[in-house]
Amino acid sequence: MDPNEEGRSRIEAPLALIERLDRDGHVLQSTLVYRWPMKIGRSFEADLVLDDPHLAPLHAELDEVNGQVHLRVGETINGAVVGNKHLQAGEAMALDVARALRLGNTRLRVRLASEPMAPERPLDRHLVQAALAPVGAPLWRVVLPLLLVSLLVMLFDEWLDNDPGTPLNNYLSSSLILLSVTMGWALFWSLGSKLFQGKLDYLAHLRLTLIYGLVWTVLDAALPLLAFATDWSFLSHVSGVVGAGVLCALIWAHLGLILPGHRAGVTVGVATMYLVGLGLHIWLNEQRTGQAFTERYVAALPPPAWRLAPAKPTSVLIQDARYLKDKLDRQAKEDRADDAADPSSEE
Amino acid sequence: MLCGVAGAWCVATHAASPLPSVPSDSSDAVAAPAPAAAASAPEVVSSSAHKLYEQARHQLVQVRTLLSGQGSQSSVGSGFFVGDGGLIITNYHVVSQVALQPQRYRLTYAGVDGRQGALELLAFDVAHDLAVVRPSEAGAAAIKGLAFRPRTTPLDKGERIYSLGNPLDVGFAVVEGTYNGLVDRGFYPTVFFSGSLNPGMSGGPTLDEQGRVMGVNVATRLDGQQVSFLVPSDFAEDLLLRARKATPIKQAVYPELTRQLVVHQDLLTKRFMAQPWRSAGHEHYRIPVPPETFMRCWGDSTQADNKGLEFERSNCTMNQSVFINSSLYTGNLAARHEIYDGSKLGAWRFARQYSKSFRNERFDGYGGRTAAQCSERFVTNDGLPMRAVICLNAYKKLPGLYDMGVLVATLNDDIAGAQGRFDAKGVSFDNAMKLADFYLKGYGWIPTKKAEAESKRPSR
Repeated sequence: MDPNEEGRSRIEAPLALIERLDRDGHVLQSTLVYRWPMKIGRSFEADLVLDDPHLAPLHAELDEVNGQVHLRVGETINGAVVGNKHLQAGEAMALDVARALRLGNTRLRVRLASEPMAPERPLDRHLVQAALAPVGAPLWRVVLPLLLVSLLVMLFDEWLDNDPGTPLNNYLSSSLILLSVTMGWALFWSLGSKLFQGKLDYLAHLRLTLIYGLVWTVLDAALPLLAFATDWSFLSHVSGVVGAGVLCALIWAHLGLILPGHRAGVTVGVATMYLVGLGLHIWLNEQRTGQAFTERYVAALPPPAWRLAPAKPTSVLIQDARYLKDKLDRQAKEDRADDAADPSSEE
Repeated sequence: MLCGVAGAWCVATHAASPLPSVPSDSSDAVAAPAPAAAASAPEVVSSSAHKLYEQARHQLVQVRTLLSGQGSQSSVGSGFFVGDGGLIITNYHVVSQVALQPQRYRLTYAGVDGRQGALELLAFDVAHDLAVVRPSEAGAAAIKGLAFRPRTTPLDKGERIYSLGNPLDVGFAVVEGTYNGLVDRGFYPTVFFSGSLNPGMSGGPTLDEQGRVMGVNVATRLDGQQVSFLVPSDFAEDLLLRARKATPIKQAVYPELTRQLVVHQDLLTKRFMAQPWRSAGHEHYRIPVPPETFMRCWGDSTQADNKGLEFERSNCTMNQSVFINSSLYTGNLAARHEIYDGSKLGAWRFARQYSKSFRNERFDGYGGRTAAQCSERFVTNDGLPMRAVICLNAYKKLPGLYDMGVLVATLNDDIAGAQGRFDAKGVSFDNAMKLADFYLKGYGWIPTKKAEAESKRPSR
């Protein structure tokens, strides 16, 4: 017996589902298919009537043959697009697994009732979100403590910068400025969420901003201190680049919330942006100053007790400095050669 | 050298870039151009000024630096025929563009009587900012030049002297003024002339009452009135002797410039290191402060009602440096320090402000120097642990010369400390290292008598 015949005899069990999608891939309208073939077009004769001016009255026809969906393009000037293949009027082809197609300006997706279903996917939660916010906990309960900690850190930083006896309103104004910058930043990304996801997700963005802001603050303070303690100046020299890395990670996290379906693309994009920026920064510094990082020397001077590295006699530093001669002479020679090649730069 | 007098302007007129100015070592100095009116202000010229000008006017010339191609003026100064053989003395800074870029600039002269011609550069003394040039045409050799005042007869303070030149390209002028001895605390002897020198008079002669050359116009202070400087004629006489045997210079003078600067920095380093450091007067910190033989120190401190970090600052600089070109002055030393007291701040706030002050230092290479290369570590001297940084820049066109800066911050107290910086511009690498070590060894800790006594007491 024909399985279709059997299906229909059992009071309208649907055979397939045709979904109309918007440009972001969200479903606008879905239509159950009870009978093959399925005519699609603007005309009322069609089984699926679509109100798209770029469609022909009977634009295309879908049919099922041996568990496969076949598309046949009708009398149309715009044709159909399947994957990256453009079908003209009268052409036909079998749709593969994804079964997405475009007719005129309309995107459609076809799902057969007989095919196995994909397992349920957990809700898209950001890594940081997942780590810090238990499922079901109200967001404000996570955001509020973060906000308080951030405020305290801001105030402490401000306190360090100010002399004793500084009026309280000085602290207030600078805290307000920082706070509004943070809130504004989160709002900016929320607008992205609103645009692509249809919801603001403000607290989620604010939380990301606060978390990454705190991470940045801690690294920015700790790296130079570590460099001082260990006399390993490299740690201080890279702190700017590490800070930029944290900023990129924050942007990556925001984008993750805005475009949860494009995690891989966003990761590759942000990582590329960071690496290209880093490469450019190092290259320009090398050109200009002969070294990778902008900072010339470790400027952090915490209380002396933080020093773990031993202090050497002055002759050791002089000995170190002697090694700079070759590099300087080489640099002077290169610069001379550059100047000779470029007469306009001669003084 | 004198063109590098702190706060002074070399008195050569530049068309394109106005005039080189050097930041003054005094806090009240104002680096503003001398009012042009000063040039035309009516001077009370005595009859001897009139007589002297009449005597010297045929020896007086304006030295012009022209662009090779179009021939327009790039800068102008003055000069004068001296002795026999048609040689002209002027300042190095008047001819520096030709000396450094002979393919781009050329020199000409114009006399009071309208005589004009091309000039050749024969010799220069960059440390004293002098140069000898000669008209290219043979006829000029017959011109009888001015005579030098004999070295054995020094002038007395207050004697009238007369400076000649062409200020601001307005016209030849004679300026009457007073000899006021040598400038105090100078590295090379420099005459302090109380008279108005104006841009364009550089390289002109200053005559005594008998019409003999006693000095060469070189610079003027902009933050004062009638504080001008002359190179003593002795140096011009010495250079003239060398120039008689010289052949005209056609190539850029960098090798000879380097040689002269090496001699200068050797002398400077030797004389500097021969003198012991002075004390900064602190109870505990021994901080190197240079003696004021050829340096001048200015100090300041926080106001009495200060509520935050208190400090005492000293800034010692030389008031002379060597002019290489309008963007490069070198061959000088400087030292400064700040002693901080953060007892009103506490350890955390003190650390923040102490770090900020340490960060606020630059070692940029500009004006023909490479970017800085630095070495840093914790050092200790005489019981005082410090963070020390040594940075060096190499001169691109003066191989073997470097700028060296040492940065020091003491690290033995949570709420007090001293930071210092020593700079040596245009020194050899060996001298840079010697000076850095000399400076670092100037730091130390002076224990209190009580602590000393306790440490001497036998422990039980």
